Amino acid sequence: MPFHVFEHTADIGIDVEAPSLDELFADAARGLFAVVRGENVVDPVGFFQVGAKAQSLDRLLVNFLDEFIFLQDAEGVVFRDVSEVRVAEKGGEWSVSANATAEPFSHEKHPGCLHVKATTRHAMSVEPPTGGEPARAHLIFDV
Amino acid sequence: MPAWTGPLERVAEAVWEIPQDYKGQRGDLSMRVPGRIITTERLIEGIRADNAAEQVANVASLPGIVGASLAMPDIHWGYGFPVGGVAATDADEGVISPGGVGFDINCGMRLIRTDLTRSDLKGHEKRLVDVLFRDIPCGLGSKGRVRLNVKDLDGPLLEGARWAVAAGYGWEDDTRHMEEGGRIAGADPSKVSEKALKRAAPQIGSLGSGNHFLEIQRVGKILDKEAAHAFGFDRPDQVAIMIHTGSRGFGHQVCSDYLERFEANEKRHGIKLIDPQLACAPASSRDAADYYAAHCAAINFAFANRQMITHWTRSAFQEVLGMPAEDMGMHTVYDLAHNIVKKETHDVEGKRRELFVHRKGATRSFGPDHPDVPAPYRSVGQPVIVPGSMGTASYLLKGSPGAMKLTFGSSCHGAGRRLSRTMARKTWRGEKLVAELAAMDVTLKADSHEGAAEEAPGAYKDVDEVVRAAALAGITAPVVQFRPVAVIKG
Repeated sequence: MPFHVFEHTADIGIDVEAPSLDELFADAARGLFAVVRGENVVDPVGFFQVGAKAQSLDRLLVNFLDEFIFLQDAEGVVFRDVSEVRVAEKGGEWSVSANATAEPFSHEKHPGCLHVKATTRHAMSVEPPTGGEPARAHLIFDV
Repeated sequence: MPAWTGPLERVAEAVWEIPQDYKGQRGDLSMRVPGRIITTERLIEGIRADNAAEQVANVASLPGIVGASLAMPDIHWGYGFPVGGVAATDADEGVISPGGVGFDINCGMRLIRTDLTRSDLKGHEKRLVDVLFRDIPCGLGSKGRVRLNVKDLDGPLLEGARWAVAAGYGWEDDTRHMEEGGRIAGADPSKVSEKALKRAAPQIGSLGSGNHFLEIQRVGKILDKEAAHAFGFDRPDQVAIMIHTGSRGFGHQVCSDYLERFEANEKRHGIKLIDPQLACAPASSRDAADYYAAHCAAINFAFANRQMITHWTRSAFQEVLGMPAEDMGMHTVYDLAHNIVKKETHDVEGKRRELFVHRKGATRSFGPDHPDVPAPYRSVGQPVIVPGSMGTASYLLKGSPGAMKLTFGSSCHGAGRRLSRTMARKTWRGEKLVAELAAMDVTLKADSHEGAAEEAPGAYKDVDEVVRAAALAGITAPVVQFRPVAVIKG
């Protein structure tokens, strides 16, 4: 599995490992979606284009994942998957874009979803791939 | 998580100190004041288990921090600041930090009294929870019953509970029994992002999920007859309702927005932090002023939220029991915040000083005669509402004069988690928990069995010991112990 969910006293976190930054960001998003939906099935009913910018790579990952958390609340959806994730850096400014599929939240179809409310920077690390080592990320969500 | 092995010395009854010369786990910490944890021997092992004490020490390094970096007996690990932490900074020379408030701005408690006794609810428990669950949105995706557009949010953001009462939710008397009268001055919706407003609009008037709940309780023990009478409780088994919720996704977005802004501007302010989650700005800066104004908007949103839920609680009782809420004496005892930063004046070494008092998982606890305590309670002290967890006791306490000397008028907010959500889900099966609680005569209705398991009583610290520690330190005194009758949660 490209991400691993770990325990935390009041909240929940993920460890992610991937061969590239694009895939790292994609798998981090998938980790968030899995934490939220649990065992529920989410169908690809709706489509979103998501983007974020930041001055650093770890802030970019926070902003990227927080976009999904914002849409979850503002649009009332549960996310299924991401694709076409592209991370870029130009002149010290980082950006990411992605396509995502989701479904309107339903108490009947999606019972027991975990309400993730924010991505925190506590103990956070984001490492690009270097010298044959994969890209890695470690982060905790506020629940 | 490895146990914390830093220095902790008992300096007074239930007060333990991290000395100011402690250098931290990395050896590069520079504390400006000592750390002080209100606790007992019995709670210390739990405190050492999750590194929260290191966070108390880290907070002591903040510019302009005054007195001590404080922690209440229910302390546990948080983001930057520990949950259960109190930090006062100089209003001119110090900093303001969103991490010292928490993501859920004005997460807090409402306590409602009634003239009912437990026997009046016999046979009605299931219908009560069903109607409450029907009428009060909770859980992920829970949308408020009230459809507000973003442009309609000025009302709740500026006027808080007063907006809700004017809109027909509850009684005017409610706001006279709320911290800040249910509306804090200084809110400015223009300092709130479009994203935060879009998260707010669908969620106003909803309970949320996680550890948020509505609990119908009965008086288990009256521990201070005079204070209990002043607060509206006179006999065992008298029914009360506690509501625990906050500013929902709105507060979270405000916190996230300003954490990003403060991080980006840290170099400009010349602030170097031991932990990036302590992101802060000088209290005199535009950044801090804007955060404070946005945070006040979230404070008011949460007050409005709890006011609306109070109204629907009353209507549920009316529907099930067939009597008007007024005839059942369903008055608000008090409503207070446990995630907030407030400008307050305190005596520090004989001088009156203006401070920003950050309370994250900590409540205000003003003693008798303080002008901010509602008039009916002024001879007794401010009510302090401390929920336990499902199946365990909750408490109503009174603020004590010792709190002003020791903790900038602050006390504990609850039991504090002991186990992660994953461990709780592994340890307890939700269906079994519902049955166990039923055997204890407690009716639980949760949005999911997994969510119920996460909030199992064993996942939390010992609330009785937390309350005892606060009493030993002289910051609050117990007035009423409540036992649960029924719970709804998301």
